[in-house]
Amino acid sequence: MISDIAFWGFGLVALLGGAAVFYVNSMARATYALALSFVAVGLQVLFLQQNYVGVVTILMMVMEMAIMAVYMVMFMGMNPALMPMSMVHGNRTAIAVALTTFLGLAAGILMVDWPARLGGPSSDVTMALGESLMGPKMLVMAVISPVMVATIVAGVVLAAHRTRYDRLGDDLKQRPADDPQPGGVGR
Amino acid sequence: MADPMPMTDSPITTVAPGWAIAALAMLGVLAVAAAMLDGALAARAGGGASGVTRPFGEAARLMRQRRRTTVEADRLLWRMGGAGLLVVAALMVTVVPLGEWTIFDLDVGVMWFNAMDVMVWALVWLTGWGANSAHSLVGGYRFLAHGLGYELPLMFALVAPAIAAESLNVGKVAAAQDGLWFVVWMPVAFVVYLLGVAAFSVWGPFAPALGADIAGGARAELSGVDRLVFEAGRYALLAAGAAFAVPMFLGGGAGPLLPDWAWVPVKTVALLAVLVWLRRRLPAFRPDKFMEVGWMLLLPAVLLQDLVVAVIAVWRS
Amino acid sequence: MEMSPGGIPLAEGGEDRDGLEMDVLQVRFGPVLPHWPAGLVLRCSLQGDVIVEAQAELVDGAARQEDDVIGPARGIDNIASLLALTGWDDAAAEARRIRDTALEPGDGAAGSDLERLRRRVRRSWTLRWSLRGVRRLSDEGAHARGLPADAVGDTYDRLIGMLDRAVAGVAATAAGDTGRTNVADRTLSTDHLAPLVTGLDLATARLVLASLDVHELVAGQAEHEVSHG
Repeated sequence: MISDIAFWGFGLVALLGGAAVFYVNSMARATYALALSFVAVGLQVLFLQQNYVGVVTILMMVMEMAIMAVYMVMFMGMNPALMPMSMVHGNRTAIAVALTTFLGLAAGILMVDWPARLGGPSSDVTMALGESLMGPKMLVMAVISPVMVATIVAGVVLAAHRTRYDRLGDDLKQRPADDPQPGGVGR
Repeated sequence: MADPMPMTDSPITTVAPGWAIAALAMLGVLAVAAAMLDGALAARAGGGASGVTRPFGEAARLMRQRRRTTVEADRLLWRMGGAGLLVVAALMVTVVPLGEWTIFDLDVGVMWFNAMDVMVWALVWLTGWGANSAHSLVGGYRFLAHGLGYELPLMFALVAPAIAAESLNVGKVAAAQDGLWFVVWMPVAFVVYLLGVAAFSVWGPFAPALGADIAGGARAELSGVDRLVFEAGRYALLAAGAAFAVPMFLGGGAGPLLPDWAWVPVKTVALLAVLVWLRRRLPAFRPDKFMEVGWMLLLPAVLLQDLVVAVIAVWRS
Repeated sequence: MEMSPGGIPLAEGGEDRDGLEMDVLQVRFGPVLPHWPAGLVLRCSLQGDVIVEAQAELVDGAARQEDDVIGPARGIDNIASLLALTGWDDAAAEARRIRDTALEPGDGAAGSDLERLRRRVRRSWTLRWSLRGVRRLSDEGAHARGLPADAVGDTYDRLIGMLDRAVAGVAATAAGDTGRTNVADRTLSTDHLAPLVTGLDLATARLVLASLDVHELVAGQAEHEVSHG
């Protein structure tokens, strides 16, 4: 009973937090309203006995929102705490798309002929979830992650304004390196 | 609806939720003890006159102080940031077993602790942001810069005991150290973990976010009770971090003579004293310097540690 | 929507050192800040916490008299400031205590205490790591900027120089050579300060300023032009 109330309570917080993202008029508040929404979802996932997934959701999303705050001030071109600004644009299209998607998905949930449960749940539901999601594709996923990291690193290297030739001179022999500020390991 | 705590065959007894008050009281006592020790060490170094009584005097002063207000402050976020540190510290200790008792026997307790320490990123930044002052905003961003340097090494430091114990349950990690504490064969992970604790408590060498050069940084505009709660939160985080190290690296309640529940606070106090003392010995690790150390030294070192632990764990099983 | 909520104008964008556009914030530092040269006002344009442009001024520059600097105490006070800015509270407290001893008439203890502090600072490899390479100045660089010859090197070298000078100063005072610590050498014009801190973040900029061991500031040329213009 109590866990039922808590589950639905977190659901409500998640929903209201998500709505607040579009309602508030400051970027910091929108960011952390989204974080709150995700934390509530993470807590809900705990009730599904997917403890690992739930806690990781909280961890990743709070961290992500903190990083988002960095980008916010770096790239937004105005001081978002001071300047009240609307968090929405393209209102009508967005509402129409959101409503259609919601109705479609909800209709799907209601209309699908759900299979009856065969046997009991696995003792480790997180493992079971992972296996049914990944299963035979595990090797592919394991290979893709380093490729993705390499892509990110390569992208940053290509986009960087300063190269090693700026730091170390044309023959790469200049020591100490010409940095705006020296780093901590003296490379 | 299912219960959020599945029954694991852990060596730990979950106590009634009412005991959370006792856990909070213990955390409070530890935090006050840390503040008293810091006061005493500061007095010895010539930084203040009153010594061990300083935290009480400071608390009395702050409680009588009037709240400072700033123009266009985002009060909601500001207050949440300042008060949140205490809450996060309290949530951290819920998964720390005291001997064989725990409040929240989560099967992924290690991840829970990790998620809570990431919360500090948001909270310190919000404290810096909410006041709408240049100094405190610089402080808030400095903390995020530190976070980028310390968080990944800290995460991988927490991975090492979990691999060795083959569990993310804190009680099982403690039980897995029967005979040989993890600190003995995972020294790198232990040291990196301690650095991480100092970092998420914005403590000692990791305090540039609250630095004198930016008039107190993220807490520059905090006054009165708000400041008291923020400072108490830092000490509580330090205490919670020390307490969590006990089941992770120091064998949990294991020890001669004393019962299990007594060894946990004893080890916690010892570690807490080391952390408080560390502040006296070291200058600040500024983010511009520490970032490279975190990524180019600590991260590879702790990954290597994880590899060694993993190889040993596979070989043993 | 008004464009200056709370009467605070919005920040304008500008190109930062990585070639990206970033907000520029105008912030004034001083004249009253802990561990800060007295009377100095630094008007900074900040991108993040990096100083992209700075202008140094002196509050009430003309009215300042040469105050009675008592022996090497001023130098020790500057050491305490620099140590406090590095975040090493214990060493800073120690330096402050030595300063107070040095100010007392008829001392004898300051010399040995200062010698001990110098050893302690030299022994700390974390402090060396923290200050090495911060605003390194070559011989010509220091000369071109109008800085004294002992400003050559990085911030760590300058800190050690400050300690050496303080030790020598205390020894000279103890030998009865009162007031002969050449204060004039350590007078800096505000003109020299701004270029030194440009391009650094706030923390390192303050370390560099503190490492100059400023005993006396005089208003520079640029400020006169500004005030007349």
